Amino acid sequence: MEAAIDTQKISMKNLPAFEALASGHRACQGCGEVLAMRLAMKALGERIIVVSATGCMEVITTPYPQTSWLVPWMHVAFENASAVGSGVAGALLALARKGRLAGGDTKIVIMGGDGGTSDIGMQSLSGALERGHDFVYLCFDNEAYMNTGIQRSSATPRCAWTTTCPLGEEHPGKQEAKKDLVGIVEKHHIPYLATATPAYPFDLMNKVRRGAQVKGPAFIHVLAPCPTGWRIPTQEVIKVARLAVQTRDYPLYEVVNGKYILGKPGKNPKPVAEYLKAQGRFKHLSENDLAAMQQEVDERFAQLQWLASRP
Amino acid sequence: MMEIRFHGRGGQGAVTAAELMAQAAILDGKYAQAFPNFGPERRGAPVTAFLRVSDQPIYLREKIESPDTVVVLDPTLIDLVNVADGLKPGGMLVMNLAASGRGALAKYGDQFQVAVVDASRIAVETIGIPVTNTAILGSLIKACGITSLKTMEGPMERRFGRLAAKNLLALQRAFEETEVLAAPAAPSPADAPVVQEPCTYAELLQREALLVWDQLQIGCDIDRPGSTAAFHTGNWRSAGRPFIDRDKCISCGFCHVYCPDLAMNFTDDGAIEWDHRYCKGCGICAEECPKGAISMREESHEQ
Repeated sequence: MEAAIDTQKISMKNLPAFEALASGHRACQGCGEVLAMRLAMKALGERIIVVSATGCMEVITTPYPQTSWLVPWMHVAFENASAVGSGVAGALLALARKGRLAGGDTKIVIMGGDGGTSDIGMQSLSGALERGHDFVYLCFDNEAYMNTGIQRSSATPRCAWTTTCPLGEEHPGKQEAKKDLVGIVEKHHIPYLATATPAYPFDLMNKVRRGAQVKGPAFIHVLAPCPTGWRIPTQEVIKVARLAVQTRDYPLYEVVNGKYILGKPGKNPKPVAEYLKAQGRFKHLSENDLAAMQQEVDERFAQLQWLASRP
Repeated sequence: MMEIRFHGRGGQGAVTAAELMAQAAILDGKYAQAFPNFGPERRGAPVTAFLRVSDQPIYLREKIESPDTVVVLDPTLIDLVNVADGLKPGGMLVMNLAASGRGALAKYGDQFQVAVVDASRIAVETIGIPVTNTAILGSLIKACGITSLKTMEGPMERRFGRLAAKNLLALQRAFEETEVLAAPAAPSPADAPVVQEPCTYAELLQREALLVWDQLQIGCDIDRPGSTAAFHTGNWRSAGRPFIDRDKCISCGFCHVYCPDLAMNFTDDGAIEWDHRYCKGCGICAEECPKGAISMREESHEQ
């Protein structure tokens, strides 16, 4: 049977010409999330079926009766994208067994935002990961409910401003830490898990492709900068996402069959203040807050290094 | 009861304008409500917001279909959406238009009253950026009353803090510089509000508007892949477009990789071509070009 996913490593020289999305979608100017999605789909190619949770990417690509999608795509509710994806995967298996599916292999791609993944879709995701269906899950994390007007989610980082965690005198911004979604997914012991961001487009595309090649669930967590909600100028979207990696606030790594593989960490990380000060949602932070954030980032990174050092 | 619809672009503060006006009306002892249109509306895209003001409690909770007044924050919207849609005959249009753009008023002059002000220039001169939502409120007060400049001070100070003074200056100047054009002859009762004609599917694809409930197909199937391509988002650009310096460009393709809107593409012979139909003008390509070959300039700039 013909494999669904191309195995070649992607670089600028052999960038796939394929696009799963047409222009004319309604994403904000400078949307980092639709860019990440476009790149991921480029890596996956046309032999896919996409199941999408509610969220920005659903709203902006399908203003009924129009659609940007050029591949089979299905919108379901916030909470059940993984359940529906499991069903589609099961249906493909059944059709193949009955000999009614011609033309080779097809990959199931499930996608959601941080709300559809770490808040509302958490239990169906957990179920699908545990049952081990053959799919790639793409989580585009822009760290709040941007589609409905920037409300906090469990993925919003500590101290960030949103409309539902405003800058009060007692409690400036969100008081709680960001949920460790990648950690939770890792504990399901799936074959492939990775973090990525559109600031490193080839890293992102190759991770998506590697994830799609494994048999069983793969999970790619993508930090998707949102100029509207993060309060950054539209042209600085890539720069800010790059700073997230360079300051080690958002380290890039893979977990392949339980083995942590840390991306090249860089010898001299920039202070996390550079990343935070570039964004309007953090502009209220004091020097003390920044020092505390730096400590948090250092501790998280040290833990990651320890995990990567295990055989 | 007075019903007002605001037309702006996502990020220009149309919703804030409606809210500020509602707060001022409430301080005056009136009843008011302000709310945005709910839909997939994005930074740069045409958006609407609504405002109701009344001496009596307001029980309506639906969006405004036939407003008494329409406020237009961005002059480029006039060619893009029917801003007078549903406006009552003889109703008021409050427009942000430069003196050079007055020709656009011809199609409204004999049906509606028009108040016009160059709010973009006032905003740049007072606040420093072309955000017209506070200036246009000065024009609205001049045209329709509703509240006073004095009452606006409280809500503006609460909302903008140390930036309130500049915004109040914009409000004041727009109030002074607004020109209310002569009212049209009294409309006959037979004049129906302007309603959009039914359109073909091909025309529908080019519109922002969604279908209404009785036009939906069961399951909301869409059997036209990639049909948003008929909708040109290029008219969302409001702050310039990218220009490629052919002497510096090495066709490396990074602008193509980083473009969220597929507006930088390779031609058959490997050069980079800008697509004016879809570029929303975010400026990522100019920021990320490794050779500094792309610059964001005004649309009218000659290459």
